[in-house]
Amino acid sequence: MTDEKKFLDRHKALKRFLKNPLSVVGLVLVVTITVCALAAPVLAPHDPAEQHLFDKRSKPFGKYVLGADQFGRDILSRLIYGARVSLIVAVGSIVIALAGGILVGVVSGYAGGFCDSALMRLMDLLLSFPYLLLAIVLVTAFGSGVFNTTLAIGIWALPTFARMVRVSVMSLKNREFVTSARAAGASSARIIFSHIIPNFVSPVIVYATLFMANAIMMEAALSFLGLGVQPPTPSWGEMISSGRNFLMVAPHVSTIPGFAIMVAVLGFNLLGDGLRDALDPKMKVNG
Amino acid sequence: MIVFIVKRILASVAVILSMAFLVMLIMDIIPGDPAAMMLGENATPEMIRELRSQMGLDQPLPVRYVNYVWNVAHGDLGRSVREMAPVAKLIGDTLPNTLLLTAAGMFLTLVIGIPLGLISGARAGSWVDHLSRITSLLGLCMPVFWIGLIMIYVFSFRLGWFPVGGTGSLAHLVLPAVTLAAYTMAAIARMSRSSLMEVLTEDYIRTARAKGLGFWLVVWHHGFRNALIPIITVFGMQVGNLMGGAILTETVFAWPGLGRLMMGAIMDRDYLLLQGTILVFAAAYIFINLLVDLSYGLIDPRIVES
Repeated sequence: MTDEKKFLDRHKALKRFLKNPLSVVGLVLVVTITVCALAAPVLAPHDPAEQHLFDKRSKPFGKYVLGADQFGRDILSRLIYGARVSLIVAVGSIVIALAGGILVGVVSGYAGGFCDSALMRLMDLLLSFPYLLLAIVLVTAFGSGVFNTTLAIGIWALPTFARMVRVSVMSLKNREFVTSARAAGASSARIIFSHIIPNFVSPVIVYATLFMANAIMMEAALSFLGLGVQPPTPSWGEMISSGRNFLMVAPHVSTIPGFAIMVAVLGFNLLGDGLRDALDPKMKVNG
Repeated sequence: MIVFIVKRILASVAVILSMAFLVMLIMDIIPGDPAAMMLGENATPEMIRELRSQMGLDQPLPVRYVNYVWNVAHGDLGRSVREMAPVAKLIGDTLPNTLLLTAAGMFLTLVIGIPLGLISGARAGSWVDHLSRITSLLGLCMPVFWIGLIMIYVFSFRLGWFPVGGTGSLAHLVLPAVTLAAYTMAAIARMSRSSLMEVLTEDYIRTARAKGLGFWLVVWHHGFRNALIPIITVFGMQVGNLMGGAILTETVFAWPGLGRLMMGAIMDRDYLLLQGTILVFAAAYIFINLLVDLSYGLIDPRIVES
């Protein structure tokens, strides 16, 4: 592919992306959350850990825009800092899943044979756990906290990436340009890095974006169950869980953080769908 | 057909056996000595050593694995430290509740999710379609446990229509089932919509319409039947989501099921109970998948041959 054609393709993809209002909404939501996460100390009106004992469970739209929680901490500030935790865990777990998934997928797809079947059986085994169960088992074994939660979610996601990469590698390795590179004397490493990996980047990017939504949801679920991120670190799932006991008297404490999760998940889902339709119109499945 | 069934059953048994090994391997990573934890702070090293050998913990993992599988095959999953009862009994008491909840979730997914998607797909672009697409998109983005809390607040605290939690009557089942099914209803509605829309562009649909059949008759007889296969596939995949979601739903609604038993086991570091619940959960999931696979074989004989 010449550079000019590549540029034109990208230009077309960008145009397709911007023409879809839902993708743009997704992009705006994702950018907003990312800005919150990056600029949390600047944007947050209060210290997220500071307890104002006279303002316990104070209602929204008063002294605090979104009210205060059961310790008198500003909910808005905690949500903004919570975006940080959510994104750190989601991005971190994607890096783990991608690195591991590409490694397993490329080795498996390129080598084939026994190595392939052994790795794939292991991946199948990990995929045979019902949703959430594997992540629960892993985080129980590793222990709670931001890093261990990230690791557990990363391993949970790894098999899906590995399978996807493997299928792409298998279909690519017998294509003419790979055969000709091999005939020209290129080493396996060179073929993998400059001919195979660049060709499955776009489906992997799409899936990784959609997976961000899953990872955010998973982190929230694990933290809600008390296994993931621990208090006092502000995490959206943990906020919902700790506000539960006051649902009757102060429903805002545990319901407001849910909106943050919903917005983040919606943003990444819309962005991922938009990228998929823009990068490869043929892949469009859901309306 | 019989060869196909036997093959699939053997494969499932192999998966469950390897899963048991993997779970034991992961359990080994968990810090802390189960024997020391059971005896408490005043235990002497001798007491711990003795209990370890009683529990078989001093043996290497492969030996423990073989013993465990042997015992499980005889219906013995060990004893729970916390509940002072056999793990098998505790699981037997809670599993029906989880299955009931999951079945109710599946039922709602089928009777609400699929029709919603089909109407939406048949009337693409109408306000019904827009409404159902927005609802299902939001349904995919809301955390299960959050939906549950909102349900409790609105329908139990404010309106007083349903109990806050627990089991016992049909009224107890309503909120947990709706909560659990929210995600899968949304997912299946989206799939049904796109699947039907794709089928409706086929030539035979145009032919059926051209010969004078009414629109909904065509949708039902020609569209729905052909759109069904991808819908069933997605439905099978959603069963895993339902079972995982059950853990969260049970926590929110204090539903005495397997998920809550498992969470209790995690909190108390009750190893054998935890191991047992994980395995039964996973085995139930594999079993349902086996049923889905076998039903494909019944629907489409070509799958059996390949």
